[in-house]
Amino acid sequence: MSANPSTQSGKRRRMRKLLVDRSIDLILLVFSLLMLLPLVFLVSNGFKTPQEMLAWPPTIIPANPTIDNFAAVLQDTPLLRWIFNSILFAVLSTLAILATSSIAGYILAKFRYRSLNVIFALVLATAIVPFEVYMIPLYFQAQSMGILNSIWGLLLGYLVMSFGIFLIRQNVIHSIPDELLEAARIDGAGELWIFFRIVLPLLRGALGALGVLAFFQAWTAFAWPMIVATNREAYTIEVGLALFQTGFTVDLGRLSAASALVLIPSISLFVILRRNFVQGVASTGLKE
Amino acid sequence: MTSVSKLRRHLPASALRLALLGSVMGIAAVAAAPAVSAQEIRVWSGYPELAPFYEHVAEGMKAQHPDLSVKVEAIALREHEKRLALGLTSGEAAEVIELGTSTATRYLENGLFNAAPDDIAAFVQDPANFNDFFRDSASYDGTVYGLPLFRGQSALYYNTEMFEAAGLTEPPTDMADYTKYAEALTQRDANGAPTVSGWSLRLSGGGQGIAEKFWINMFQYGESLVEQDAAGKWKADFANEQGRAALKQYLENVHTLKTVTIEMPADAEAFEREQTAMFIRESWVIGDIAAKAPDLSYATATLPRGSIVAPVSLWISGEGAEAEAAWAFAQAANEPDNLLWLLDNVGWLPNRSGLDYSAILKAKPALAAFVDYPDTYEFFSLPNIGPVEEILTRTAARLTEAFANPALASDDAAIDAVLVAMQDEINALLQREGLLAE
Repeated sequence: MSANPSTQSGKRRRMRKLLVDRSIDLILLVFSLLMLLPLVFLVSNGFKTPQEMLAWPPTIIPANPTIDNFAAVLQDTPLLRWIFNSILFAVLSTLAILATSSIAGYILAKFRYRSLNVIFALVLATAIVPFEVYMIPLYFQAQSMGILNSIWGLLLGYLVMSFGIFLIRQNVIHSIPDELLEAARIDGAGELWIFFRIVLPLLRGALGALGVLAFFQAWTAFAWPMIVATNREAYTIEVGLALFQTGFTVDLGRLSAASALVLIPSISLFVILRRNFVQGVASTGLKE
Repeated sequence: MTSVSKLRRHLPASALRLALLGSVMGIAAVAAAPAVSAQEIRVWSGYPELAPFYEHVAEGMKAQHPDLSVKVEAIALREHEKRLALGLTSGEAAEVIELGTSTATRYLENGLFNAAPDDIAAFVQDPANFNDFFRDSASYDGTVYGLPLFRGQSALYYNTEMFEAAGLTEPPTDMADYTKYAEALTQRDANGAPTVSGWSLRLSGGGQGIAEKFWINMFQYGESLVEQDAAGKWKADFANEQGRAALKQYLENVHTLKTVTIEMPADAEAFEREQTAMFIRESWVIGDIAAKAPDLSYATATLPRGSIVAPVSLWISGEGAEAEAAWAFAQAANEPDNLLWLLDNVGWLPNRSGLDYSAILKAKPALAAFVDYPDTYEFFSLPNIGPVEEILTRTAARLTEAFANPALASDDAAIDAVLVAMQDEINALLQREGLLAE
């Protein structure tokens, strides 16, 4: 008895779909591995001797693994101090940006004064000015305040994020109805109470996303920390890593070892906050 | 928690307040107390590998200057220059600043470095200590401002085993030899395609490097990318026989003789991996080879006519006792023992004349080509003019295009046209800046 033609065509369709799905999986797997390769080499290079670093083709698993690079990095440089400086800078900057963005974003979204539109336009305009443009006057400001080579000097350029204000304002407009705020006011709630007990809890998701972005912005900052912190002890990790470059070459072994160590805090943070990070990327269109 | 509660119960609130106030005042008094009278100076360097050298110098000064504390802050060169631009103009820079003449000039023009005291100026002007080239590199308008310290300088590196296999016993002595040697040294596969280049030429990569390396080769023919006239202005004038010979040599090697290709691995790594037989580079490669390819059989040789040199000096900013200590540090860095330590441990070449390198050369004979050169050897440097980087970048763009064009190799008129276009572009840049010589 011959098989039903419609059943056979259904089987063929399912087979074709399965084949297409598996092919897509395979391509994605290959791309994932390729994307991971630089990271794998980074860690692997940290364990290689200078001779093995030169080997061609390069080895993924070191033939003669050594921890000399890690030991040299930890002995010769205040790496842990630099990591601490970076964490402190990034955390304080994140807190400052969350505070300024939530307050300014809420006011710009919900308070009705004509001058606020002008202020909002100015905030948006500053978003398109590259940091390097106002870095120099900011440096002289830090100098006149006597806060060079200090955490306060580092923070000076990273207290406010115009994009953060914009992000929170848009979130307030879309997720907090005026009626809710009016109801609270009618019930006798003060503005501070409304802000802390109603607005902030409703903005938790957006603030989480902004927090992740602000943290990574400070964590990866280079130009500002480099000019404002000229003492070795005041460096952030991004600046410290530049020391592994010599006049004409890069000490790849030690740089890889240091970078691998530096990855630990940022990967940990990413793992803890990955949901917020994904949300942040989704809501900003950020590609990196 | 419990102890605090108990204390609160047993002491009146006013006593607690007094104790707290006393502690705060005590801390404030300690914080406000004048620091111990130790003198501190800072050294800013653009070469992180030099930090141990400056620390070595500071260590050696301890006996004579027990109260002097030296803080060395070295960071990669481009970052050093950025930091310096803000630090010097705001008065926050270190007291001792290590900087190449080409970058220092802009600060000298604006009076941001201290003129050398008389004894230091006399030391720098003494021909027994420095030749005219290095004296001038630390001077501005006839006044000494800096203390010459070290330099970047090029020489030829060649693989002695490959030379032996090719029947070559001596390094090349003129530019015609370079091409002949490159032909003999190139290793090829069955199809004739080069697998090991005979002479690694800089054909791609960073723009400034391409133009600089071309300039080094053209200098061996007796020509320069830009030359200064008696009035201090500059002009490009290389569209001539010498310029043609230099560019033609590149094109012949790449397209006619195929001793090297644009795609082949190049520079120090290729040499260390034995993917090229010879190339021209600075002395840092010796240390790099020692670390990465200690078993490599190689030697170095001076270039036929002379070399590019990037002289670096120590400059001083600040006032009073700090400036005095800074000059003392710069002078100590120039002590023969310290300079020999610098060459031996870091690999940078001291600028001071009359040093006895024999012990170092015995252990590291490859350094001979850098410190033991003929009396007739000539040095040239990048000019200290604003548009120099633009000149090099634009020249490199034209050179890269020329290197990739096989039609040029056998067409002298076409090579001349490339050189004229390159020369005109440089002169237009010089004119724009008011620097063009008549």
